[in-house]
Amino acid sequence: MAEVTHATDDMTDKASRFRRSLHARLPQIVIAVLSVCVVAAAGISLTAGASDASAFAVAAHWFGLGTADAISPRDLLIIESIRLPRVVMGLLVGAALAVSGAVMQGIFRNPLADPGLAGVSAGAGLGAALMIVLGGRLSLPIAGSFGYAALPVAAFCGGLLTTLILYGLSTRFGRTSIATMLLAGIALAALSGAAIGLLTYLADDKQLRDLTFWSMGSLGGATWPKIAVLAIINLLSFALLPFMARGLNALALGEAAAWHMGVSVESLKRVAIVLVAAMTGVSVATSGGIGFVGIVVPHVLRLAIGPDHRFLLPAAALLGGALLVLADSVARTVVAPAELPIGIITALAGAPFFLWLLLRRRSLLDL
Amino acid sequence: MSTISANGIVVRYGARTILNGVDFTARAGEVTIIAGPNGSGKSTLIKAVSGEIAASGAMSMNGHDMRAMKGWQLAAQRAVLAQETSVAFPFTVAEVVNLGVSAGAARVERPALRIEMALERVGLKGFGSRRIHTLSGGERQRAQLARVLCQIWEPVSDEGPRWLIMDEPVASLDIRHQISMMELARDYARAGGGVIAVMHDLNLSAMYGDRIVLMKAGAVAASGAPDAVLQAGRLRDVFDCPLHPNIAPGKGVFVLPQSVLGAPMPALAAE
Repeated sequence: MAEVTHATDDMTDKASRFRRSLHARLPQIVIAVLSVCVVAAAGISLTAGASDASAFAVAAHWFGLGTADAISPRDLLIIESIRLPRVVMGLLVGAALAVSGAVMQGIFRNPLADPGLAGVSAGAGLGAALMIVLGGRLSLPIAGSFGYAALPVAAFCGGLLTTLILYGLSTRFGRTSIATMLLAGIALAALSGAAIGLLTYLADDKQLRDLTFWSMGSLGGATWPKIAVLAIINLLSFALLPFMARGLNALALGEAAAWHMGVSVESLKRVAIVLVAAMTGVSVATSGGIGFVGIVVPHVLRLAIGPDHRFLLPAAALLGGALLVLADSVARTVVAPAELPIGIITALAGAPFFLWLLLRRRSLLDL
Repeated sequence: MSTISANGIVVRYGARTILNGVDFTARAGEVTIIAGPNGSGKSTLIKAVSGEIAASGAMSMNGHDMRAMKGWQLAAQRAVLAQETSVAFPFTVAEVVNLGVSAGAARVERPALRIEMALERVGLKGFGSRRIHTLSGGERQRAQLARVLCQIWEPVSDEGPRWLIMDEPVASLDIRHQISMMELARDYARAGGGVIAVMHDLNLSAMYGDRIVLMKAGAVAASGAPDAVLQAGRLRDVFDCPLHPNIAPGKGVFVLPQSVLGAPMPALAAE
């Protein structure tokens, strides 16, 4: 009898230990699942579209499995030169937007901080608009030597300037007033919008088309050279994240506490602000203003796996990329053969979510 | 040189002088209490001593010039418990305490075990998986104490004694946990570490302090053993309030406000 009881105890103990170890590994499990989601989203997006070219046929073609005539040259062209760049760009932009949101929230110590809401994207947009309209009038060698990087560099400068102004206005003695930050963000976004509006009067027809494309946001302009710039900036930024994760965790306890724990708070903040500006800038320069990814993705992940930045940052990159690629598939197919700007899709999904977030955390804004 | 010492500390915010030439020494193996009225510069002194704010004057820890030490070097040797620590995101108690473990100088073989021990030490056994914002104010303060303890777990390192620096650690605690907090501080000091704490409660200070530094208007009014510092005339002068220190045989000095003994407070008497 005693042995039986013991055995049962042992089994429940094993079961509870298994549950506990499963719970402890939840972040790793979620990251693994998200990696699969990224592949799935890419597959769906390659298949979805106005043309019925099948991604599986192309995959078979790439890996030399299918017969040569299984795929028409037209379909191959559609997939390789139109859909594939969009998918790659969607993954990179989505990852950049979600990660820069998470990093900005870590630095401002608030889940409502987001490059889109706080005007950083608008500032980056102004930088890019200035380059489009006035870049040609600057001395050509300078603009020429930057080439494809000219636009991202301009957007980066605009984003960096906005972030610095924002931080200077809303943070005093290491305490950030979220109300001041959001209000300053509104003012900075309005100012940037007005400046972009003024620029439209100086723009010629082609420049006007480029400017309109930005205000909406789209992955439609995906080309391999743009992707190269995006990939370089993103990979450099992502490479720094593992070194920042512990510091961002400590920063959640306040700047003084983080400093007491040996975190060099000032350099962490400086690196983070440059990183947010770089990732936001390059995203805005290649695909325009795509809102709400940076606020929704980190928030959902904090609910799922907790706020530890060691897991939150890579998970945000994966989920942000997957979601944006899916949103792009929707944007391309719902009104096919025309397409919606992707910013409309992310706003339709993200804005109600944001309102729900405000409703739940109203006390946060009563500062 | 197992001390934290500061000589001629001056701190100014704009035109206001918060600390005006403070000399301060805390010895390892002792609990040093900083007491004094509101606005006398206690918290500023502790911030200067922990290296958090810039101050002019000389400061050393275990014989090393503190200004030459990097943030991580200081973090390996001293930990700081603030009056209140707000946590921005819904971290679990164990995750918060783990921040202290990974901030410490020594590599910990089994961090989960260390966290559990620290939580048990502050009376929060089993709280590890709770989200920290679901705890009460006093429980949150004890969770932060567990984090701070993990940062300087061994009271003595190869580099000399470690230092536990606390700003009003018992302000949010009930009397039982006030006592256990002070006993923990005393145990840490008896094991060779140093403890510096800002306190308002003069009786707890007298019970657990080896030395009391009494501050008034940005300067040290008196420092020494509790019974030498807590004297009627000096307390009246520093706190601007009639206080009545007594000696309880075998228990040391305790302080009662005058009005409890019958005489009304001067402000009330005037009305």
